[in-house]
Amino acid sequence: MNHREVEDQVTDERRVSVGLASLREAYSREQAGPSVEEQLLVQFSLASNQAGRKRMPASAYWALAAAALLLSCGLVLWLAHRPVIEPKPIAQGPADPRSIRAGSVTAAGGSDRIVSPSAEIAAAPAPPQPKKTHHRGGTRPAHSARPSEKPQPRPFIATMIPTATDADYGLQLVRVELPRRTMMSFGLPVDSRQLNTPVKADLIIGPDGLTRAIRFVQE
Amino acid sequence: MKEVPGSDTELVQRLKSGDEAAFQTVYSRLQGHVFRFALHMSGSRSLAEDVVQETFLTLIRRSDRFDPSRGSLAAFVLGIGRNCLLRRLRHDRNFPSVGSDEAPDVIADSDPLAELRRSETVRQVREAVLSLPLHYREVLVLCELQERSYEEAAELLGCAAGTVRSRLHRARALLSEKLRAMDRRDELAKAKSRRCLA
Repeated sequence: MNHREVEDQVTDERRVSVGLASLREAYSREQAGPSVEEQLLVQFSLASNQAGRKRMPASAYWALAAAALLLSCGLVLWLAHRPVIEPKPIAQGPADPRSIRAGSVTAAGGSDRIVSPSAEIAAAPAPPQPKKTHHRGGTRPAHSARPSEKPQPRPFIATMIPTATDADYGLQLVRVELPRRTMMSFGLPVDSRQLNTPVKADLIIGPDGLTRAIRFVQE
Repeated sequence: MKEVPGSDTELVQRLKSGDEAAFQTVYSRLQGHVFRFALHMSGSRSLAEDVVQETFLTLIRRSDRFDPSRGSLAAFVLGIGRNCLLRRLRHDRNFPSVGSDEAPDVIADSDPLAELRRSETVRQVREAVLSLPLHYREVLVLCELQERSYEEAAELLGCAAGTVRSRLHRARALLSEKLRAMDRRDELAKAKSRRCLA
């Protein structure tokens, strides 16, 4: 690089520096117009107001959450301590004749020992009635008043006056099939179209072989 | 306007809480830097004003992103301004022709000839700066026209200070070449006009 080139380079450098300094000085007072600041101030106030509005719902949300929590706690406490009507077991007669041994007629539950047809008749269960029960937490007891799929037997109907020896010799329960028209003899309603169809019946037979009571299982 | 004293963090806290005086303080301190940076980079006053507006709107909405441990508020705001400007330049492809009415008014001096010569120099340098590639231009604008240190420019541009230094060196060399080319072009134009007159 000769002397002339060095001189040219220095001149160029100086020119760039001077030019940049002039440009810097020429633009040193340049600023955005006042309209920009005005618009920004408007935007700033709007943003501040929106931020203020946003803070209000936040507290409202907290209040709603607290109220919801209190309500749920109250509901849980009420469910835990509410009065509940315990469902009473429905009295049932000896549904299964196989459970009855000769000489001692006992109901399936084993609690009702029948010593005489009159006692059996007295202990015979009433037809199942729908019973209103309250269940907690959706659980339902096994012995609820749900309609059974098996035909429920009617109460025993006495056919003769029990004798004094019935209690000593015991009674027998026999499942038989009878014509449906037999029900008419006991004053029970029968569909005229089903007079010849069979119906199951439980007979309580005394030691003398005579029927003490009868009940129709299947109509 | 009432000037609100305080550190950057305090100003930002007050700005977040909706203090208009704090906002005005921040605006009056920093809008000139952002505006001149955008003006030097784009050569368009209207675009520079748009960038200022967008920058301070972003500051209003995103002031919670300011982290004093990472830099000053001025660097934060100028960084927003740079991002806005680059987005606008990419979107608009707005590279205006130089020599338009965007040049600042020069105050008449006692020596009209010197003033004319200075105006011509400013026009030429401005044209040359605007014709530089973007990454050289922003280094030149930051370090030469806005007098920022290499470290500040490096922080703003997200590169090393050495990179800033080398880019600046290259930018000055390019600027010098462009000014020489302009001189040659002007001399040719003058020669043509002399031949026409002769």
